[in-house]
Amino acid sequence: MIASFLYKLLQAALLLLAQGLILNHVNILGYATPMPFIYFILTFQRGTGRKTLLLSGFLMGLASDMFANTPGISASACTLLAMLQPSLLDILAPRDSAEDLLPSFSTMGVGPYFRYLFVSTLLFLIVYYLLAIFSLAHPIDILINIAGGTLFTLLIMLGIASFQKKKA
Amino acid sequence: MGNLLLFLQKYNYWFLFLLLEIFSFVLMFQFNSYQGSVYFTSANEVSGRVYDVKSEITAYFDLARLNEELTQQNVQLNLELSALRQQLERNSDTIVVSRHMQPLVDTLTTIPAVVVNATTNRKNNFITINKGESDGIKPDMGVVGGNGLVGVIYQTTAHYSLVLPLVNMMSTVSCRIRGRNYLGNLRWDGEDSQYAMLEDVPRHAYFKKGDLVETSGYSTMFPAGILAGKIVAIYNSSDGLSYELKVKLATDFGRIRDVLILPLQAVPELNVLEDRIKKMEEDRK
Repeated sequence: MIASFLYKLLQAALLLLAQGLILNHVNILGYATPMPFIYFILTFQRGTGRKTLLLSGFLMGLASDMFANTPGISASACTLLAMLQPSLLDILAPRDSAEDLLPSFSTMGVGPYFRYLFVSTLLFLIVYYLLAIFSLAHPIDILINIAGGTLFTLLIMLGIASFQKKKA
Repeated sequence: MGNLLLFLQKYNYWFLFLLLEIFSFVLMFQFNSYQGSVYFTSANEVSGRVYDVKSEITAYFDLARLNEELTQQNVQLNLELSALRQQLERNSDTIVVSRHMQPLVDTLTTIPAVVVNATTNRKNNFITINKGESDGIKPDMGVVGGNGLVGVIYQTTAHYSLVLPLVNMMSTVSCRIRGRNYLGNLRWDGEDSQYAMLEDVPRHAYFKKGDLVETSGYSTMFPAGILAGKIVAIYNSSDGLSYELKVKLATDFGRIRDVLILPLQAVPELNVLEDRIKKMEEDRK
């Protein structure tokens, strides 16, 4: 219990530092900013208390807001993602998966895990950019932002996931 | 009744969800008006310190380029100085230094600061600097860099401040075209962080590409004559009543590091008048 708590804390700190120090300054082709810090929310074990999940997601979002000077935007999108995470897992994990499933390539299988990461990231970035830009004046811009962000966020998360797979 | 309580108990995470979302939205919409929200930005103690450490480390990678830039600026200033000195000698019997030409910089006591974090890839970019209230910094003070105009102090905490740079869509700075004195407002369109638009330049104004744009001095934030950029393109405004000039900004916001904070200019009457005009306009509405 304590070990997994400490692991989550360390994971949060590393993801936040990577996001704040490097990734917030990445802007591939003028649009795509990767936001893999949501990996923290996506890798909560199935059966984690809803309130724990919501509070963790919210705090992670708030912390990322502090580094990016976007008060409330990631916090709001992260809270929503934390709310939806259990349902996303239920829908996208294989039917015969464990009650206390810890989402990863090895527990869910490559295809389902990839779909789970993809759908979650897309959902998060749609909400994030709609809140950040708060207008539909440049729909094409928003779409490119979302698509590019999803692509690069996914790439980085897959990198982290496969690294962990090798280690395990 | 029992069922209702059971229901509430089972789904009480919904209330937490709503509470957190409401809190986030309040933060989002109060950022501009509520001072306390500064503690949820990179100017707070924790993220400010993290960025501080990072900038101390990365500073060394940039020294060669900074040196080169300083040398170039020195050479240019020396050239300008000798040209002006010659001019002064030629006209020494006729020249009268008017009150307006007295060097404003003499009267300024500036506060040096180091940029610890800056973004350029958003619509509303901010810069975090490592000086705050305890160093005498207050909101609305002007910020300049080695190459020119940077922005205005937006919010402050004890040891850090958030700067509203030119490359933020909320920023407007009153500027003029150097040597021609036509005024306009410098705004950013949210696209390229190297360019901004000088808007509301009158139709009868005379200027050309390559002219320099500088602060007008018609505000308490900046004295007149601080370089903002150079005109690279000229457009008509959408209503056809004025010119819009595309300005290449003098400051490279992607590589900004050392800045100076200017104290507020002592023109309280200006603010009183502006407030009065604002009030009159509101009353009319």
